[in-house]
Amino acid sequence: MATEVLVDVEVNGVAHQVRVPPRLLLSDLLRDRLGLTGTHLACEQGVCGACTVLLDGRPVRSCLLFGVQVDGQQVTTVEGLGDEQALHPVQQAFHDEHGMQCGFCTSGFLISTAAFLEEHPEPSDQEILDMLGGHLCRCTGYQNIIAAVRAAASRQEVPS
Amino acid sequence: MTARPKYVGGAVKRREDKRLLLGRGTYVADIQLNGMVHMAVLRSPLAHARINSIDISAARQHPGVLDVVTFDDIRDLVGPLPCIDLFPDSKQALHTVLADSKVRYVGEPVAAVVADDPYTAEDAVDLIDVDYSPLDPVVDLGSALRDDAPVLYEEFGTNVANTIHHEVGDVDAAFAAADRVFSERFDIHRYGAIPMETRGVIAAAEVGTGRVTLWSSTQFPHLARQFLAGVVSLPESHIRVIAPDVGGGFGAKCEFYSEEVLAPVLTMRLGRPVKWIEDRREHMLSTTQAREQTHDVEAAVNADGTVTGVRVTSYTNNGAAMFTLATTPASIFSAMLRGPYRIPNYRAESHSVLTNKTPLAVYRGAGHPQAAFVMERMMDIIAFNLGMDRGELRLRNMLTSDELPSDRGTEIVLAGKVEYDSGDYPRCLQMGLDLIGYHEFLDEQAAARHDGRYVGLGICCYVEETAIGPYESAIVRVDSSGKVTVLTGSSPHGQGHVTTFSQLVADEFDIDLEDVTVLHGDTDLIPDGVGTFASRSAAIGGAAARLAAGRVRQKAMDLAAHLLEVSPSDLEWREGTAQVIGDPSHAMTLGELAQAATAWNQLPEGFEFNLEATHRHQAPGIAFANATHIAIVEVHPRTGQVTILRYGVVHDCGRVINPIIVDGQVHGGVAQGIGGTLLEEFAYDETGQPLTTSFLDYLLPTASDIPHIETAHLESPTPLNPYGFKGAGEGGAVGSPGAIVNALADALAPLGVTLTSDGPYTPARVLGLIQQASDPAT
Amino acid sequence: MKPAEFDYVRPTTISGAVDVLASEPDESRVLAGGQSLVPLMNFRLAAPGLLVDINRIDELNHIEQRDGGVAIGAIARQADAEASPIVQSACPLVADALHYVGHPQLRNRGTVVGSLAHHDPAAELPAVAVALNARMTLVGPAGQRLVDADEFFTSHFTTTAEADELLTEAWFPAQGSGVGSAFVEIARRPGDFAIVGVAAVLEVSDDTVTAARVAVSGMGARPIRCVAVEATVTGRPAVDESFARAAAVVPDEARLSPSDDVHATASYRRSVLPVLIESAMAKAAARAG
Repeated sequence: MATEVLVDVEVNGVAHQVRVPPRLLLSDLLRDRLGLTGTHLACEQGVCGACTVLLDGRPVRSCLLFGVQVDGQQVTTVEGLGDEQALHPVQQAFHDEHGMQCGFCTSGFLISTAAFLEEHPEPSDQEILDMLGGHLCRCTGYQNIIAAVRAAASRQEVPS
Repeated sequence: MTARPKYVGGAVKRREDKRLLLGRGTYVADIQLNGMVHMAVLRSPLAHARINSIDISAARQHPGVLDVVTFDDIRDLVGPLPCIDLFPDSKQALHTVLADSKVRYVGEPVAAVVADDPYTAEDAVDLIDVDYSPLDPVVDLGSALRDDAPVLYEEFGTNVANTIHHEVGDVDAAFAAADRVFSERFDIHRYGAIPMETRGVIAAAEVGTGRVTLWSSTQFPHLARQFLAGVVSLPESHIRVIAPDVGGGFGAKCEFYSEEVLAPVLTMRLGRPVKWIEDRREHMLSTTQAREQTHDVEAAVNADGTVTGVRVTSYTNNGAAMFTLATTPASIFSAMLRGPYRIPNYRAESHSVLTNKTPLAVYRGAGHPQAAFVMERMMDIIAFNLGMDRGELRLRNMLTSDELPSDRGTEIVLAGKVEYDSGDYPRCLQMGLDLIGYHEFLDEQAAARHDGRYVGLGICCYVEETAIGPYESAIVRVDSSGKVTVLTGSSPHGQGHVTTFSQLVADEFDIDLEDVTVLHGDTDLIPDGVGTFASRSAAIGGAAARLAAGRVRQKAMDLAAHLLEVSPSDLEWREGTAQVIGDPSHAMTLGELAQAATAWNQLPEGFEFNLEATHRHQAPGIAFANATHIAIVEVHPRTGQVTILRYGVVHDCGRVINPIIVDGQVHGGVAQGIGGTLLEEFAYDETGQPLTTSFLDYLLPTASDIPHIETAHLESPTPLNPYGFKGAGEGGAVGSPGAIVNALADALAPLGVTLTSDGPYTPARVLGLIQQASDPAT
Repeated sequence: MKPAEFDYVRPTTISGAVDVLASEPDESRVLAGGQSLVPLMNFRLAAPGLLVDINRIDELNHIEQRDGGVAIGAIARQADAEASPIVQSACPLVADALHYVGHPQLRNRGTVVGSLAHHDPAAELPAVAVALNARMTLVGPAGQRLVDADEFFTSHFTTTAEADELLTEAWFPAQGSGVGSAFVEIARRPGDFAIVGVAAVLEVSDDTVTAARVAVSGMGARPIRCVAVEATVTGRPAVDESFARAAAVVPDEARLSPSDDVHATASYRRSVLPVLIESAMAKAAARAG
């Protein structure tokens, strides 16, 4: 039986300390230990993107990280993007453009898109497609997701 | 009614979104219950084998394991999983809950383990030791039909589980008299629904009553309740099924699976809630797959292009068992093959065949994509051979709206007679040709060919059964604040029913959308229902909801007349209020009427308490939607890569409730059709081993793979539905394979390439076709 | 799809990591980006008893100019290498190829060196390493050794690294002026592993190709230098016709041994390789000088 490891991790701005077996995936740590079930599992092999979270601000697959690895780091999940009173602009755009249907893949798209638009405030179509390539959706056919990303981009204030 | 804009027909944004956007959805995997434990399933590694022995001792003793069961442990507790579309003379090749002495496909459940957590459960599964004696597998249709083929169910002596016949008109005479006969063999490959959320269940039993609650990622909670009751011999009243948020289904989840029985059985054994979440690898092995068929088709054609008759012999590769909806793909294919065309003479023989592959069942479109593909390929082949324009040939053969309703002389299992109710197929085709710019394209194509580029255009016109019965239920109630609650038997998993049903009911009461609450997915809350599949919910469920709302409004009016002491004809309904015509101050709101209607009050004879009505809307017949899909593709001649340059859909689903939602369904369906045609395949080797068991092998389309889809709408309301609605959920997946393959065939026509397979047209395959056409020696 | 149990250590120095690997050479595996290893573990196709997490070893976290090239440390992320001005100017082929590696989200965590150590024969970076003749630094209990890319990749998922050695760095020589490079591939979808990938580096002087290195992936168990193609184009004018003629000698490349798999046949790979070689060389030549 592998020794459990103490992990200090800040998730959505809240500090947590948990004792976990090394093999507990970060995705399961977030979902089952911390009750943050907005991050979804659809493949557990890093392909589909549904489990994407921000690790120190960068989109990564939480199904390909062990909880023990993020000791001392900051994680942002979809729950940290916006709240009932104020949706994140990307969340708002996905709603406005009907960019979601069943919602299962959506959290991952939101996380990636939010980070992407901070890095690329005026993205080209190709840059958008490259970013979206890391996420699978089975419901929407992507057309409205692309529209949502563009809508979110155009609403961002462009630094003058 | 008033000048207030109606919701129905409007581009109303979805009400479902906020919760899901905030990551506060509740899918089965998200649910935690006190004392919950975790199930894992041992699955067969072989396609066909006898089970000699199963040693569970090491698994049982593993720390953290609570229980391990094989079929012997549950043999007396469970029956087989049901198939609801069998015919009287079908072979009842039913799937057992766990393998009973034999395994028939890789992935078949053999044993189940329960442990403290899913990691430990998976560890314990690896400790179970099964001794198998391999048997010869049958994998493809040809092999399964041979006289000396290994037989999956020895008691039947054959692998043919069912045969459907259709006979319309005088086919033999038509062929005898035809100027030309065209014969082709078409191959449809195996692919599937692959929703982003895998399957999953939680079962919990109530102490004392033994009442079982089953949370399941299902499309039909009420049918699941019925099936579970039957399989474990419990009364339905002892079972509650809840479909929480469901992350896509597309037909793979309107099936009833072993795990939906195992978890309840184990929770009753252990007295603790049992959870099972399918992982993606399991999903690729054990969730139903779809499409795979072969068809030998002949068309009798006159010199002027009139198709007078069609004969088809058809085989569906049903995999290792007749699953919940097993004959439906064969039935729909053969009932609907002729699509929008007259073709007055028709014969079909459609066999469902068992093989050592994962069971096959329904997936978006069921048998329609295959029928549309085959018929539309034939039309292009005929047009090419007769030197006729493809559009002209189709128009010549299409039923016109004057000829509808049209009894097609066939029927679809469970759904009923195929009688096309309404539609304007020629206009739909013409709109499609205009949308894509057909004649301009022909000029562009000529120029492109001159430049050595291979571009092609493909048309696919289809007719599709939707809005099937038998019924859907709705309860509408008004509370004392005037807010309305709708309980529906529909079970959405992404289709936006909360929004569309709110639109229907809000319009009926002339109230705000926000004042309507729509609840679904809980069999304790909604006493009966059917579920969401076969594009039925907006039409049947929506009709039920609106009709129930209408009855409530009528009750409200009648009560208002009584309380306001006027005659009902002096009242009008406006903005949620019963008002005396010409005297709006003399009025009662919905809320006031609801309060006045409760049993706290004395009501006169004949008035029912509460502003509430239940309605079960039975579909009087099938409503047939239709569409035209047109694709333009380019093939890179040196690499075989295919690019879809343009894609257009003209879609007729009768009266549209919400065009954004309908377009979203079309986009999603087209994307699945593109995936199926260019990327996706469930491949097996000759021993029945699946070769595509992860997302690295089974390729789903990404954003770069799907073109911008241009849509236009036509509305041919159905007389079968009080509001004219037809179904809209599946059509995108029905028209796309035919459109793309026809476009590919058109692109490659100068090379003399003929296409009779529906794909997947991988670059390797396309380049191979090009090379073979250029040099037949290769 | 949960991984089997393992013990976990997270050394903070290279020597610490090597000590662990040396103590448990059969059971230990190095965890860097994890984008290749963890899926295998989730599928239980890999079940190391001891995972050595090197992600906190600062000495491994560099992308720097050194010795006329760029040294990329073992835990430098693919995304950082792709965006690095040093990599883009000194070794643009590396930055180019990285664009095809998976997706941005995977590159945020995946490492350049990890991709080389893992050596999936369909991966892009091993072919790039061979095209540029990168040099690997392996550190083991006996000390440090350097291995050229040409020798490093031996077979599918196998390199000359021993079980008790850590690949600490890959050094790529600067491409220099007058040199153009390009990476092209055919994949089923953008971001998928290459069915065939071509890394081409051309040195052009006075409109003549004076040197060429063409390495391909997906055509065998390791990246393969197309020496016949290189010989044919060297000394020729840097024009499309030369590239076409060079691509036409692909059938003479004896060392190509493509296989069939679920994505493409061997025959398909042979058919498209010349097309990609032509395209890669044309792009490379256009960027030279």
